[in-house]
Amino acid sequence: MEIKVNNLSSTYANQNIFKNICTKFEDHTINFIIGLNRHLFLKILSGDYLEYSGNIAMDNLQIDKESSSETLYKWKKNVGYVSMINTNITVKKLILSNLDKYGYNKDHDKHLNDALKMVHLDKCYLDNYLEELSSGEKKLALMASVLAYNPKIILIDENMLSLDFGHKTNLIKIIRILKNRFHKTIIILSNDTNLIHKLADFIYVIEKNDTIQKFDKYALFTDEKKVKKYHLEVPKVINFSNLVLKNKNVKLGFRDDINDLLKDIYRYAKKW
Amino acid sequence: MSLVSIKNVSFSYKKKEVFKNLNMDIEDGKWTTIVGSNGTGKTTLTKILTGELTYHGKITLDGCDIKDKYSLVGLLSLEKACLDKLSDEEIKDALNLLKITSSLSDSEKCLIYLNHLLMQNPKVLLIDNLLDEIEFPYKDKIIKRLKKECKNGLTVVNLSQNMEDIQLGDNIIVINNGCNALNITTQDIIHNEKKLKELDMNLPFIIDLSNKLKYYGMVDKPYFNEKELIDAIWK
Repeated sequence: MEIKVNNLSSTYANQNIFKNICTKFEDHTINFIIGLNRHLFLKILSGDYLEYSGNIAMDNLQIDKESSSETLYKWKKNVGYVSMINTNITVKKLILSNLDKYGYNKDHDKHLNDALKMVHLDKCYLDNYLEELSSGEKKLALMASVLAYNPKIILIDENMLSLDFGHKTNLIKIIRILKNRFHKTIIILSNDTNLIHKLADFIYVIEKNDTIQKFDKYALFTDEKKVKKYHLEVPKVINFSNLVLKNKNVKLGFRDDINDLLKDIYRYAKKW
Repeated sequence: MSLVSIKNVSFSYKKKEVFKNLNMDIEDGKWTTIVGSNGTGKTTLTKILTGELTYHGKITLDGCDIKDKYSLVGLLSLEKACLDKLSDEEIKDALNLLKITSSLSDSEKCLIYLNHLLMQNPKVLLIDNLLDEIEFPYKDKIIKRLKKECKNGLTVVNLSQNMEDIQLGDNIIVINNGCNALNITTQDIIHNEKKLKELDMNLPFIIDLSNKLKYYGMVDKPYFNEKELIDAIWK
């Protein structure tokens, strides 16, 4: 589902954070947000923070400062927000509380199992308390608790994807499946440019309090001026291509992953 | 010479055993990277080394029992920096110093907290899962600062799930689920690829790439440095 931000202005601790921001996230895409005050931006999208003027809209639903609790409930049912929480309950209770809240009263066991299966967590985790889990497992459990009630738009907070190699590879697959098979719109905060390069359709940079820019990932990471301006770490694959161009004057294409890069090197090295 | 020596340490939470007879030596004045997947006990290890958790077994720092030496161990993590350790006063000072009026971002807090830690002259500085979570310009700043301190004798221990981090340091220790710690060098990593895959760890990008190129016969050996690899491909 498409999500639109119309004329958003907000203050936080007596400061102008956003001023007349307008932007749009397209239907079934994976989007990353980087830049200033992105946490607050995501919180506003989630419906948790309401101190703003302007509105946020999807299909036939719209929220703003004056929205009724009923509208907000509908919004939150459609917009899942994955973020750290500090309560110490069992994984089962965590997922069940979301299921109950958003009207899934039947077949609890099935929903529980499906949610855990999505994130590749074993059933035996259900009775574990969140605090007993490692940070990675906790993040997966929180992800499962949101996927359980099947929201159309999924917001993922910073660092929820900073996981070890195995779990990260899994989550990347899951996020792609969510987009391709279930047509979700996904919005992620992350500063891991290697991850962004792998996964993003679009990158939104909040530049100043009144500007939000939308980029295609190649357009952003291959533009040296922009990379410098936004203090970005160049993804490894692109960095390597840049070094080859600089040192050997060989122009490799900008590739998505290491296997593509390999083919390209093979092609160009032979020519050489 | 080893500064921190962990001998036969066991620890378990109520239901879950984390360490069973763990042995590990951390070399004095070096940068050691401890890598392991989620749930192998990296954070638990930091809690043990800072005295937050009690354990069975023996840990010494500089030859003495660590229980009398917790003050010499510093711990830098995003959580610590953001939650409890900085007083309002300190934040205000920092804001004045930096001549900014807004609130601090998590990454900025981290940088300030690092200063705060270093002022207490620790012998060992543990970094828990930080470099993955912090923003790029600050990550660079923190690494530079720590490299300098490390040259002056500080022992740095970076606990990470990101294999790219091994290129920052001298020594590498891989912890496997629960009990065994594997001391390896960068050279070993190439030969231990299978083992690392079992532990759910990937190879750093540059080693992965040069390994694959070697497989196709385009280079004769793996490289750890981008420039050397490029020179080897386009001789």
